[in-house]
Amino acid sequence: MKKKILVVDDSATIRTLQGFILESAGFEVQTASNGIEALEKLYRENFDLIVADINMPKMDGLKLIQTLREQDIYRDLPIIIVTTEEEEEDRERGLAVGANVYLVKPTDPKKLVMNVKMLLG
Amino acid sequence: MNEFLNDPEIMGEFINESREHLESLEPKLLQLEKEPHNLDLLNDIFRSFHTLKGSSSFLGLTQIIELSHKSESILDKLRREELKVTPEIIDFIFKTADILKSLIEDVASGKEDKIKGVTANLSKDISEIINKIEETIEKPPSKEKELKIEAKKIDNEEKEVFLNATQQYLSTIVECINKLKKGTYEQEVINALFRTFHSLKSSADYMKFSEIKDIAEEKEDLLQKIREKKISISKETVDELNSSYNILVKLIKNIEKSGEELLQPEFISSKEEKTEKKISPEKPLPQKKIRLEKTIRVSENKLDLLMNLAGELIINRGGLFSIAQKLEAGEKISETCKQLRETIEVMNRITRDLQTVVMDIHMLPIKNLFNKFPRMIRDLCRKKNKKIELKISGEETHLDKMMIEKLGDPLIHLIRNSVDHGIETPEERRAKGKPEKGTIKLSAFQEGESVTIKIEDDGKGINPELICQTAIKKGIINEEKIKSLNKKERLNLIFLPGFSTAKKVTDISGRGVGMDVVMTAVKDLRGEIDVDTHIDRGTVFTITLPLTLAILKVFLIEVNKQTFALPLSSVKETLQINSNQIKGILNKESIVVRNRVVGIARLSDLLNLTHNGNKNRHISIVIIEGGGKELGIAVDALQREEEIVIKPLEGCLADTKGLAGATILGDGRVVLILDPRELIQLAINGR
Repeated sequence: MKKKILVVDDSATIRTLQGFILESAGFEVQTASNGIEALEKLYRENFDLIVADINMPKMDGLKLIQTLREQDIYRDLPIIIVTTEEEEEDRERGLAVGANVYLVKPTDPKKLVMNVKMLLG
Repeated sequence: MNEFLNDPEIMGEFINESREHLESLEPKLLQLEKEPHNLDLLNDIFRSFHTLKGSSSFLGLTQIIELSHKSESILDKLRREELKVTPEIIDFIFKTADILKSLIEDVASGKEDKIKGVTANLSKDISEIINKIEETIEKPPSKEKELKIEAKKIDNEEKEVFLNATQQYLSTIVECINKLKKGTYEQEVINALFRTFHSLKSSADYMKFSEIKDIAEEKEDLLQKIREKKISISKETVDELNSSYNILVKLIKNIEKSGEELLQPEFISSKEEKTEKKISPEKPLPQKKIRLEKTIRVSENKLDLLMNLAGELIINRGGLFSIAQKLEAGEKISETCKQLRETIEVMNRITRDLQTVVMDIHMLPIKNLFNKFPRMIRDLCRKKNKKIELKISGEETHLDKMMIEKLGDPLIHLIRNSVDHGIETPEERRAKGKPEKGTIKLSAFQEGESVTIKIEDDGKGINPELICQTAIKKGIINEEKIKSLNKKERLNLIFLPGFSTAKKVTDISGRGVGMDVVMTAVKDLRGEIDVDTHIDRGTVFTITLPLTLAILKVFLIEVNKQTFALPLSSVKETLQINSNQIKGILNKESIVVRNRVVGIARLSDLLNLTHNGNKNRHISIVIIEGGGKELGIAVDALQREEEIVIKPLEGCLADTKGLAGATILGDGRVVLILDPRELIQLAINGR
């Protein structure tokens, strides 16, 4: 069974790029362009991992993670933040709301794949 | 580091052990190909390479270390089922083992200096193969695994990713612990801790950092229980989490430093020293070369026996001294003579026993030779797209060590011939209604004083007509002569120099080197080779060899008052005839023995000895055979049978036709040993 990953990013380029990287690493990928869309997809089907941006319209990444972590079924879902915010406080905030790993853009495709694999075990 | 290279004892051990490991690999690898999931077997093979790596690193033989390490890691992947056993991988391991073998032999012959240059090329070969293997593993079904292997290649990058993620885990953990210390036992904090320990566990597992994984897993379990309210959180649990955190920080620091998780700091420092040593340029190898003697393993029993016999010899020597003293003093002559006779009897027994044991030590099971062939057949089959099963029997048959060494090439040649020209392709075989898989039977057995080796195949056989045509075309024989040959003699034409029925020169059967080489090799071992074949049913080559080359039973004959020895195995019969029974004229004389005409030649003529003008009416004839032909040799007198030890001829005598060697008889006389086959050839040429 292929592991399913949800990529959440407002940039279509990033969505396609990350989708492509993860798909060629053997994962099944779906995308969402903001937090609300992501929640809709998540409520409809199960994912094994989320890769999310922070700065997005409608609902940003931090709020998305916060919302998910409040619900028991999502409290252990691995979440990777991939963002351009490189300040130390941003990273701390990201981890504090419940992300497992915080990566700064641009991420090396290999490193993204490795992080995903490490979290999926 | 390399002082051991000059110690003959250590080197001897190393070389013997390595040879044994490498020898034992072949059958195991062949078995592995048939039983790819046999974990015991995999472990076994892995261990051999591992041992080799270990002992060579002790000696600082870097090339050997590197190569065995590469094989070891491939085997490890096979063990962990990250790789599948494929013919390519088996090829690779075989090739590595071959190279290792030649490296070990280079070390054995004191050519360590050479090794460096040679293996530069070899390791290029090897890395090409490794690349190929890695290409092939890109394709197997599970894409996920494939990428995992690919990712494994980039160790440093992985380490970086792992360390980056781990730093984040650790900061989350310490934050949560601080919250817990303040007394905020919120579910959210527990969840975050659980999640983080879980992430750490799976990341460490991915990196195979088992210690970190174990600790993280333990805490994950603990937090799970807290979450499920099976355990209530207390100050003790917080302390426990805190101390785990501290250990984890240390472990991860070690990874940062050395790439490995090591708990004790003293290990770290020694590790650093080691790596430093490695970096410092290697000392040039000492120029002094050690010569290693050829060794052979002897069972303790035989050694004890030899010791006992030596002891008896010494006691007997004492006996002889006392007898000599008594005789000198002229005391009790008849009694002393009786004593002497008894002592000689004992001496006789001791020497006979001694001979048996020493001969026995000099004999090896033919297994040592046969063991090479399963691998060879496998490789040839892969190359020629044929399916062949090799059946071996009688591998426990013992043969003189020297013969086993010399039999290698002719046997290889015969088996290659069977694969190349004998066994058909699976398609051809199917068309003929034969099983797709051909069979080659290799067998050996002892019969009296000789050993027989058979190579049988169930292939297409040899066509005698084709042989005749080729022989005529190549000018080996003329048409006239061929008519007089029977089937066997026609087949035997293949053993003549310059004969090869192969339509083209192939890699497998060598380059135009024909069966005459096989014939010469067998003849050098005083053996015989025979071929029997049936079209579409197969071919059998039978090689008959004497048990040992060192000791020969001979028949002594006399010509011109000189004694000669004829190998007893070639003597068919001896007779006394009247000179008027000889028919025909000079050089074409013959006699009739039981209604059969046998050609006669005088030994003095064959060897160009001066005629002593023996006008005896009674002539002694020895009928000898060799190469499928027979000849009566006229001699002056027949003497007796004797066991002799052969000494090779040297100097101008070595090239004399008709002579096989020389020996010293018990009374000190030097006697020439005749070569029956050459004598017959001389007689035929003379006619």
